[in-house]
Amino acid sequence: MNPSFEPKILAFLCNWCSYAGADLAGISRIQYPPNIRVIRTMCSGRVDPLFIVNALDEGFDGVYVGGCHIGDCHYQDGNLYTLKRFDALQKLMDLTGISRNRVHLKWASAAEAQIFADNITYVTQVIRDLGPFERDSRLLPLQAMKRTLTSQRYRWLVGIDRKITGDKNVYNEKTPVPLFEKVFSEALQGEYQKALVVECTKDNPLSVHEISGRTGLPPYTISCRLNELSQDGITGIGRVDGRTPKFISRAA
Amino acid sequence: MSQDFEPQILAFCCKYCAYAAADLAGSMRLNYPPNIKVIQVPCTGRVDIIFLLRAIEEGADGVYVAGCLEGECHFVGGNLRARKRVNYVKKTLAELGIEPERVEMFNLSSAMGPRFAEIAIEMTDRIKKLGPTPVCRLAG
Amino acid sequence: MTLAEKRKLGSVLVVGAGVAGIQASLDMANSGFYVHLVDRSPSVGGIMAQLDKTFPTNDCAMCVISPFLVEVGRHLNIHVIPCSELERLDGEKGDFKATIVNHPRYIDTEKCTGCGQCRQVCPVVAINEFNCGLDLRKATYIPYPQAVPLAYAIDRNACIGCGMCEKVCLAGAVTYDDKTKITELEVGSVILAPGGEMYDPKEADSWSYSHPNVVTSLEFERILSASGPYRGHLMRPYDREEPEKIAWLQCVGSRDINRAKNSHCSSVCCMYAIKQTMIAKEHSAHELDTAIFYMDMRTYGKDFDKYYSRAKEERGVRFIRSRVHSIEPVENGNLRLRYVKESGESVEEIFNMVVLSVGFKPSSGVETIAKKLGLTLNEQHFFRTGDIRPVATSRDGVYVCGVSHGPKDIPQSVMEASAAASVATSDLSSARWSATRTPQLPPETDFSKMVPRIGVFVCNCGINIGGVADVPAIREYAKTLPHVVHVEDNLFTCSQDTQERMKQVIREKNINRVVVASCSPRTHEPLFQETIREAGLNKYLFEMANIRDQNTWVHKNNPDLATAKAKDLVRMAVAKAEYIEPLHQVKLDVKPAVLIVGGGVAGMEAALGAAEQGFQAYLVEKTDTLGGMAHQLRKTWQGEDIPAYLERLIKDVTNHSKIQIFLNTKPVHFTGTIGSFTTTLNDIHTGNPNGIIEHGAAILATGGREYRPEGYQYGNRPDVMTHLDLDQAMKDTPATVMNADTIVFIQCVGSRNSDRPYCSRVCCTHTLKNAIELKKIKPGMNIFVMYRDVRSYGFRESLYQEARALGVHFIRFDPENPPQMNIAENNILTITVTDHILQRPIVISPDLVVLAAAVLPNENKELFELFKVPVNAEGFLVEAHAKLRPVDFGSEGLFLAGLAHYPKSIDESIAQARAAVSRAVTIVSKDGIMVGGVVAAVNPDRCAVCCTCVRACPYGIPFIGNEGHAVIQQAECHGCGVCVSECPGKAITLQHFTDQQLIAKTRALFYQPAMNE
Repeated sequence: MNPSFEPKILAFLCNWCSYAGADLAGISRIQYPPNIRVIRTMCSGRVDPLFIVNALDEGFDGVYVGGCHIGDCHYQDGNLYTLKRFDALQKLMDLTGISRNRVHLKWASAAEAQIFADNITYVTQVIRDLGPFERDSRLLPLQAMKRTLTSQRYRWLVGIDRKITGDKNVYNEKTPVPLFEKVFSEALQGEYQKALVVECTKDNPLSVHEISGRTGLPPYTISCRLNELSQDGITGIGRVDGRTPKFISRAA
Repeated sequence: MSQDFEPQILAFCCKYCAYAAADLAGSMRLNYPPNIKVIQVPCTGRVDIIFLLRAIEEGADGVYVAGCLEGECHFVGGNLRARKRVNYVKKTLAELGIEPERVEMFNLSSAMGPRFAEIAIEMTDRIKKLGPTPVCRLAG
Repeated sequence: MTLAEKRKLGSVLVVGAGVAGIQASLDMANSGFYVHLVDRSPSVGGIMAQLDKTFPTNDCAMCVISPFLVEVGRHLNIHVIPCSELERLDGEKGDFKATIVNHPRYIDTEKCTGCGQCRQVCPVVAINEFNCGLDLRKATYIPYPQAVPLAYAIDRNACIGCGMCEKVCLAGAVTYDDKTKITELEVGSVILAPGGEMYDPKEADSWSYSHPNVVTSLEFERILSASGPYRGHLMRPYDREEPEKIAWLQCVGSRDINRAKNSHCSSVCCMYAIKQTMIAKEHSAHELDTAIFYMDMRTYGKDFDKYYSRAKEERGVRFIRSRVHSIEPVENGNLRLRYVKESGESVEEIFNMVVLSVGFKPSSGVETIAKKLGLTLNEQHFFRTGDIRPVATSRDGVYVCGVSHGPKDIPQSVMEASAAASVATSDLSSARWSATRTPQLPPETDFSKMVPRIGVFVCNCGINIGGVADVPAIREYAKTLPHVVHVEDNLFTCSQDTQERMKQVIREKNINRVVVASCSPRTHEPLFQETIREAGLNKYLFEMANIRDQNTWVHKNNPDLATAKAKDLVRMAVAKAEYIEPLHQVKLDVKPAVLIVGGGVAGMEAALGAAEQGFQAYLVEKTDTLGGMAHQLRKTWQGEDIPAYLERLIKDVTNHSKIQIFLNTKPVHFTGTIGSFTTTLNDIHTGNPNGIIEHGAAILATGGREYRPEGYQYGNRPDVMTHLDLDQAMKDTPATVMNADTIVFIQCVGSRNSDRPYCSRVCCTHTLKNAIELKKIKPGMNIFVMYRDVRSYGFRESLYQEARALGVHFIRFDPENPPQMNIAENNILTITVTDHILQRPIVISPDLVVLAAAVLPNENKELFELFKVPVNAEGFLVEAHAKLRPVDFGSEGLFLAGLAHYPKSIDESIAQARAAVSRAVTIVSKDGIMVGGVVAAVNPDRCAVCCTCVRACPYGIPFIGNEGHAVIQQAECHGCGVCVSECPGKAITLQHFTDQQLIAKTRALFYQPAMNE
């Protein structure tokens, strides 16, 4: 690892806890690495996973999200949603081959300046160890992640998770967590794989094997995703070269 | 050719196959150009030569007849007669100096929603290439 | 209580809404019974709805079945009960109490408009059963776009209860609090048609089925289907490459007691495999190599053998008689097949795709129902039925049809369904029309003198239309159109409250034409027509503009153009509405009697069936005895005694008060139309009239006979006989047969050749039955069966297994190289045949040679011409439709049954005869037939008697009447309009699709009155 590499890290800090903690660290002159650039949000719940992916796409090497401790959210449960979303984002990153350790979610109260500084020190080191984020070689997964994170299916499921597994669903019962998780990971994987296929076929028609070469997905997986994309009216056969159909997507 | 030219194309579709296929294209949410306007007939055998000529006369840029697959006509052979009539109209148009390609006959089954959309695309492209009908419409 | 006092109910229960259940329901509902049709799934249609094409005509399956689906869905006397199962059945024949469990659907079918918003947003996916798991569907789903009822359902096993569907359903149809309910129904009889399932190759791991490019035949059917996952583009699942070589493996899960534990033959797989090879070739832009690996090619049905030869000779399908012993995945998604040719040579071949021709097994419902109702199953776990009562179960009053009691194809299922309908209602005939409903309608208002006052209703269809096109703009535009006096837009025009409102508006504003701009007339026209009829308008004063299915659904990226197109479509509909006229149907009297021609088993069963249903039957037979060919038969294939049955049947027919028998008689004159025919009968010998009878329907059961072979010394030697000769000998002089030490059976004598390119269907079974009987009496007897394919279809396969177990020798021969008979100088007879396994000629000196001679139709040229019914090249009668109308003739009111249709066994003849009764009763049970509507009408003043219409009509309906002009009977016209468009004098109009109406529509597209303002 290049020891001289200093990562650029974007930090989203909630107004009431983490941001206040960071201020306190300043007042207390607690030292921590200078790699972070801070954006203040009212609540960590405002941090859309899309912001995080955008940050990576814009040239950051990692992202830090700071919120209040669970139970202390100024907006009652905003950080619980953050937690769900962050968890989902990391699962999505696992599918992309981008290390989940490029993004971090940490709690620190307004009084915990030292903890905030320790978190930043730790996260900076972790990301420094990962090395620079090679954005240019990750364009396809980044675009596909963005597409996934904007899909209605993904957003709806992340949003409804706590209500139906924690409180009650429309049948007045709790949706079993394993069932929800199964549905959610299917949706995440499905949407991401579809997004990969759409991203690489939106400009010119490609065969399944060509899509496979670009995305690393097995041909049969692509074949299955093409079914769903065709049902949604997004992808279809653009032309047929010999015996090889080439698929093209209408970028929606 | 004007890029903005949006042709008016009339399609006579039989109730049992082509019209059902058009509905299926809808259920499958297939996209095709909105230039196609469908008139339902019980059988393409009902499509009179006059209907085709009249459509051209009124100013249709294209007209086509879509019936069941050959051999599968709900009324045995109405679609075969329709094909003959379409061919006749093509000949007549050619004699008048109007492109015979403006009139066409297609066959498809009720399960062929995608084919219906394909035909709509194919006809719209074809007519766009031919340009607006040379028939002068009387001022209405 | 005596039987006579017992209560008879006028309603019936049908369990299973596949093609068999649908046919049974329609027949009964159309002959005066109220039908409860229960199905486990959310919609009707069964397996047929999943098929792409049907053999042997390659008709589109959906095109054929969907009118039936729609009729079932709209029928006033069919109560479709989806998502439900029969739980128990109490009581007895004529008076049952059926307990039905209604599983929750979570979507109210009354409110659901089928718009599909719920499906679009549902975040949960599940296996799409309709596409056999080739793709996914949502937890909120409709099995297929043409489903009846056209309503969604929530798959509770997949649903996580997120509530999204409810949020988007503007119709308020989602009901999460739906619960399991119990319903009790009172019914007079029960027909079970729970159907079959395809064998699941996962049950054994021999076929590499987990490989994506190894698919079952039903999956392949979906791959071929234009509405399937690949939209009809032939691609292999693994990587969507178009295949170059596809192999079909027959008998997967059939005729297999090792891997699949199913010994029966599934009866349909040979034909569907051939069909799939041909369709696949049609779908393929490049050369496609198709190979079918099989044991016996069982193309035993009507026109099946011709289909087989066409595939082989014209389409180049490879037929390889071999059982593949291994399928091994190799690189690039390909598969290596290893098999041994008949010659013993071992072969390896690479294919791009493999289709497993999976067989039928009974649906899981069969065993459950059998337990609950106490019914007997056979060894294969299908319902057990006999031959003489082919649709009766072990419980009185409970009947079966379709695949649930044996593998069979669509026409056989449909035939049995009609048979079950007639048998199930024959004891209930006293209760006919007692439970049915008739609509109570106000009188129609006469608008003929009034100017058009058009009301336009524009539907938003939730957001299906309004979310794309600008509905308020369309509404305002419609107001500017001529004759339009009222326009409104509705959230859902089809909802109950809008329908009520529509009726009110019609009355208040004196509207006399109604235009609805919404979805498709195919699905919704009958509903709106009913509504306006309830408001006192003739139902034809209605026109639709399809601005959803053919507009907003397909142009959602072009909202402006979609709005413009909707305006065009509304303008066109209004233009036609100006010219539409009320049409009145006329009621024609019906003669409650049935004429049956032919006094064999089929004819007698038909006569008895009609009489049991309470109608007069006239049974006409040209010879002096009843019974026909059955007199020469001994036992059914399951071993039931035919002579005893025949004796009983003749007695019943002779003694029945409602049956009048005419022996030595033939019809000589026949006139009339459906519901009212007149036939003159003459004595066949004297030529004197025997009577003139009036009848509402006629059934032709003119029978067949055994071919008298030419060759093989037949007729010259007592030791060469046909099957019927053998049966006669076994009855009269059994010793002459039993003395033989060696018997040779030669199959396909006179069948499957260029003269008669059809399989006689019954001969393989007949041979097997006789061989088994002989072997059982005299185990030491040497029996050789020389065959081309052993066609022991269905459960008859058990006979083949038994014969082999008993040591009968089977030697296959090719048609090019048939067995040769030699008579030596010492009069010793030898048979020489080339054995394919030994690959050398074998010489056998039998004591007896039995020729499995073809079955021929009786020649009745004059009679068939009299009734104007068609015959095919082989002389068999031609039904109206090979699949769904197997006992109807194209001409309305005429039906067929028995050997005159095609060779068949006695159980099949009985079923077909009963089916013909069922179809005939749908006519004669009515007090009148409504005719007219969308039919052709001749203007005598313009008719030039050029006979163009006579030639153009596909049904031969028009004729030149005594008044000197063309006549088209309303009762007979099918309403296609071909004659109208051909008539040079424009003397014919097709009502509701007149020139004026259609030209007005065309003209309206280009002439825009509103634009000129």
